[in-house]
Amino acid sequence: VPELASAPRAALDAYDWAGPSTHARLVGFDVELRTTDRALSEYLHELYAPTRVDGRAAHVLSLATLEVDDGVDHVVDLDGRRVLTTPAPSVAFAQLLYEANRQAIDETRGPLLLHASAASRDGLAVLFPAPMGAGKSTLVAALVEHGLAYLTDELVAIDRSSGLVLPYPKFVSLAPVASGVLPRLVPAVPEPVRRFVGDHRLVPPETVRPGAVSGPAEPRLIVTPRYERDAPLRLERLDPAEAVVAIAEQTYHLARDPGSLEAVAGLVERLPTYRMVAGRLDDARDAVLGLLDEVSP
Amino acid sequence: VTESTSLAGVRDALPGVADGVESVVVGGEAVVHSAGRIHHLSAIATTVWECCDGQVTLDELAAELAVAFSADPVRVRADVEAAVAELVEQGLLRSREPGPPAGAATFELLVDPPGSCASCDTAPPWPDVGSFVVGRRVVGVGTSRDLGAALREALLPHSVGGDLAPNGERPYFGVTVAEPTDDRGPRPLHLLHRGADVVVRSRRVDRVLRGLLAHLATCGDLPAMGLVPVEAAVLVRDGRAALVRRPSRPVAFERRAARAGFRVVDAPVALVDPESGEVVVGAPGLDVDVDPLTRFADRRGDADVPAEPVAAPWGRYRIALLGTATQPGPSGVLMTFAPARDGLWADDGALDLLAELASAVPVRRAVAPHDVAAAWTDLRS
Repeated sequence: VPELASAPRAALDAYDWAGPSTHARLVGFDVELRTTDRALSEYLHELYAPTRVDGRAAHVLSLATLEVDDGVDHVVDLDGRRVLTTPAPSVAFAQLLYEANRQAIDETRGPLLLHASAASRDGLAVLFPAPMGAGKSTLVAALVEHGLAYLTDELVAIDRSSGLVLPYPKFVSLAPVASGVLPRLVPAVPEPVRRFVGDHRLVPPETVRPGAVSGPAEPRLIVTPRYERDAPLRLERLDPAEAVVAIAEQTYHLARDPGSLEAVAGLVERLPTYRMVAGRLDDARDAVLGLLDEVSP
Repeated sequence: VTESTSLAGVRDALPGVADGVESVVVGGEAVVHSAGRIHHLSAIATTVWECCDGQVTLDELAAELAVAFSADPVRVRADVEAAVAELVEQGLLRSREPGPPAGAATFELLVDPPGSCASCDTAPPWPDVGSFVVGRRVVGVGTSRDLGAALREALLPHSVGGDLAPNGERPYFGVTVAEPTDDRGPRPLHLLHRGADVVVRSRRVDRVLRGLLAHLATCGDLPAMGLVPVEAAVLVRDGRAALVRRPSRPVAFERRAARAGFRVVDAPVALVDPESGEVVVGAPGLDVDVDPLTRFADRRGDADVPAEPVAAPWGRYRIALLGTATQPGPSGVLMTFAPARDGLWADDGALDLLAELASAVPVRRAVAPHDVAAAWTDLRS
């Protein structure tokens, strides 16, 4: 995303936003979130609390409501460029969250980037690379509730010089099926913002467990999870090539960031990698804890 | 395996790794990344892969493998050849097919217009599809056969043949010319489609054809013409223009505009000349001979339909007003006319232009044509 010129930035800054602005550092994406709805701005402020920083952000991601000939439109803009126009507030809000996450992935340059959740214990991280719907957010939420520290539910960024996983402690986004398993984790959505939040089940990590957010952590274990309804627990160690394939398929920007495939192979050389299929969250959580005990007693 | 990728009898070196392909070998097996796809090669394929360095020949590799595996050299040679052909087909090794010559111009083929939907896919094909080069893009237009011929003649310098879209993709634009009827009801509407959207409709075919030309022009290289596309609807009165937010219901908007004394512009964006502060209405950048289209329109027999005083004549109109859908001022202008991040007009300079316009042109809160009319009167006074 190109930097905003000064005139459009000044115009954006002068707009009639409502409520607090939220300056968040989403790994390599430095963004200010703004809306024209006071309650929604306050909700976002809390939702992104673990990622908030001070100062002026490089980018502005906004949700505004505009009058149109037959009602109102909700528009999502990134640095003054229109991303979406919709009459549905929940669609606009979903796009805002998606865009923030997408830019975190696209604007983070340097680290190896995996589509994965991750948690840590005593500074050692377990990574869960998996496609959407595999249950990686649910699993990490269960582990954090059980005492592990939260790194991310979406984007694992591994610094190439230090080898550490950099925290991206965004809210955990639970699937509907997961909120049935972990209903106690999903906070009530304030009434004024329900029209925006819709069916999303968004869980700030501090809600799962106070003090849950992890600092940078050293990767020690990789598990590729897959939720299958009622399936018994299956856990198998992957051979090196299978492991590279499984992780590479969840690696962002392989083409953009030369050396990423070698970096994945390097991870596999150092870390045991398992494939796990589970139908019960408790089984999956306990299996991961058992593996962690093995690799970091 | 096509003839061009067959290696039979080739004594040249095996092809090297294609550009942009990255691989690692772990546990004796190669994992290869190409164009977003991950390939896992078997141990044998990995051996072949590692030898494809642009130096080793097929015969050398086959002979070496035959010795190493104590296998029939002829069989090994055939297996290696098949493996290499497969790797070429997957795009992992360089193809022997010639690429485009250095310096060759590239064009973007416009397909899948915004608003495409399932009903577009199941609609019967257009009787005629013409393809036209506009700027650096190739744009398909679906029509009837007689209109297709007239359009190709009118846009001869741009015409590059029939339907060039692959896989049965629908053309970007389509024109439905209604047949005259003996009904006593209103004359039927002629339509300009972009995907599932009807973007111009009129009982006079000449307006729809002008609309097509204007839409085609906006696919061109606008920066090269010194024009900036602004995501706005244009209202014209007294030789001047107002830019307002694009309506969600264009038919009602057009009616209201006419009642408020304004004409509308049949174009998807306002083409602004930043040097003069004018909106360019028409088909800039197109080399058009309008005679074939005029003759076609005359043959349709709708010349007796009164000309609609709704669409603004082609020309240049000084921008006299910016109507915002929110607070006035530069920030309201930016929010009202924010350029789309993606699509045909992304990054064509609109963001900077909006900031300039906001300081140079009166800005009022105005969405509907009657709002603009009130602001217009206010400005005159």
